Formats: sequence, C-alpha cells, structure tokens
Amino acid sequence: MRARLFIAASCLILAGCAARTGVSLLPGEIGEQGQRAETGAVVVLDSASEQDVRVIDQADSRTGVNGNRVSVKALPTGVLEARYGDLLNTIPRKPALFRLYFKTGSTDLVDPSLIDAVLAEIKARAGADIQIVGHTDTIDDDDTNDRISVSRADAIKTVLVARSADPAIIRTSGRGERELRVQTPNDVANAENRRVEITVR
Amino acid sequence: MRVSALVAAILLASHSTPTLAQVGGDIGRIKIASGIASVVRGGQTIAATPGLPLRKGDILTTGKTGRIGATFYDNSRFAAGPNSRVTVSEFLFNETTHDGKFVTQVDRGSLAIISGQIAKRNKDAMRVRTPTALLGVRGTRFVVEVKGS
Repeated sequence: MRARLFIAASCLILAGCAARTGVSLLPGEIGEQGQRAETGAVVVLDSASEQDVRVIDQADSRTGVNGNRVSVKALPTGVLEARYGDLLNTIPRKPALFRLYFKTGSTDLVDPSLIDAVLAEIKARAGADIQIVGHTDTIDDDDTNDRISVSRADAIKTVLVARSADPAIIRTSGRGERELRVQTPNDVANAENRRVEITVR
Repeated sequence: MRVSALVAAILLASHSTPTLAQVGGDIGRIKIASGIASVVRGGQTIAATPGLPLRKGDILTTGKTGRIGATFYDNSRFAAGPNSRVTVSEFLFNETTHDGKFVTQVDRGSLAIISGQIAKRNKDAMRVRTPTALLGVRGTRFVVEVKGS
C-alpha cells in the first residue's frame, strides 16, 4: 500500500509517467494483387533536439516509449494483427488509381467506356473523393500543354458529373508535360503521356 | 492575341495546384465511422459520418465503442479506435511536389496509420506526438496506443 502510494507520488513528480505510449510496427500492407509492401520504420525522436533516439524497423514488434526511454519487444508473427484486428479493419481501403488516355491535342478519350470502371469505384466507396490530374505529351509548347492538361481533367470531371457523380467531391488540376509516363524528346507524340490520372479515395 | 494570353494566364492561375490547408481547406475525408464518434472543430462538435471533409486542427474523438477511419489527400490513412482523442495538428501538402508536413497528436486511445506521400517524399515530414513520445514516420503501417492519463 505504501509502496503503491510512493509510486503514484513519484509519477506525479516525473510528469508523463501517468501515460504510456506503445508503438506496434506491423508488416507492410498486402496490396490488391496480393503482394506485401515492405515494412517501413518509425523513429523515436528526442522531443527537444528532434534527433533520432531509436529506429524501430522490426515488423511484429511492440515498443514502449516514455520520452527517451525506449524498450522494444519482438512478438510472434500474427499476434499484433490479431490484437488490433478491429482497429486495422477500420483503416479505409487503399485509394484506387485509374489512367485514361486521350487522342492527340484533344480532350477526347481513346476509350470512353473506361469511365464505367471509375464510376463503379466511386459508388463502391462510402464518403468517396476524387482527384483528377491531367497530363500531355511533348507536342506543343508548355503554355498550351498546361491548358490542355487542365482541360482534360475538367472534361473528365464533366463526364463524371453528367453521370451523377457529386461535383463537390471532385478536384482537378493539370501538370502539362512536367510528369511524363514515358520520357521522350520535345515534340514527340506519345499515347501513354496523353492522360489523366484519377485517384478515387 | 494579348487577350487570349491573359485568359490563359487567368485559367492557369485558377487551376494551379495550391498548397493545401493554407487557406483552411479540406485535407481529407472520413470514410468509416461507427459508435460514438465525432469531430470537434473550433469548439463545435460534429457527428463523424462517411464523407465528412476534415480540416487542419480537427480533433477526432470516440467513445467506448466508437471508431473513425479517414483518408487524407496525400493518401495517408488513419483508424482511431475506441476511447480516443486524436488531433490533426498540422497538414501541409503540395500535390505537385509531394512536399509537406503532417503532424498528429494522440492524447489517448489508439491510432493505426498507413503513411502516404508526405512520409514517402521527406524523411520525418510525418510525425506523431503523444504525451510521452515524439515519433517520426518513415513509410509504414503501425499502431500508436496511449494508455493512462
């Protein structure tokens, strides 16, 4: 009893010891094609200097952190997945990426039917939001391409909205020829570069 | 000719990618919510529902059976478990360069994180604070749990 009081009192003095922080590092996420992403790392930083105190990079480990006091414990594979099953199931699905291609210098899609898959993905996600980024190949000058890339993104937004997507959840932008899928010299037509990239979250 | 150049410039300016959250804009959305789950924004409590846009400074709170899942514009994803209080303290993201800063405060409860483009682009640009720890995130899937206090 006395010992417990003493511990409680020393916790008050050593502010922070009332709370405990645990960091559980899990193996990388399994992707749509079944391949697992590599395990990353979490770093315990000194709160004042922000320098590394300890790098946590072992999958299936649990680390207790209290300021600069760090203790890492390895756990058998699967223990953390089971312990945090409900929590991990609350992580939203990975955003889906679509690439749609255009005819030269235009906002006409090579295959307009691909819009169907985008709409299906939007419908399948509760509280979805969509980002559309337009791109061009290296034909034409930069200013023209900036304009075309923005027009492509806007054109796709218009198509989605016409097919009952909510305009309030769609953001658009254009990157001109700054982010080529296929590196080419200037003034080269390239079908893979004339595209929009649509992220459905 | 001059007019069309001007129009083009205006068009470009209005469409150029802004650095998010500098104009108090949306930074992500709630995708999953169950049990008692809310967002506290500027002293007001809003029920957490799928589709609710999130902003910098939002505090996610959950009750005994509450859960909130959210996806941010850099593709980072969160899940807050029961009895949690989690604040999105900072969120800056340049969609062109992917430079940014993402700071989350976990005061209590649990938070599962799968990091996104901000963490991928710059080492330690994504951080998590708790009452007893400062963490840098280097591209990963992990759970932070704060007990006591």
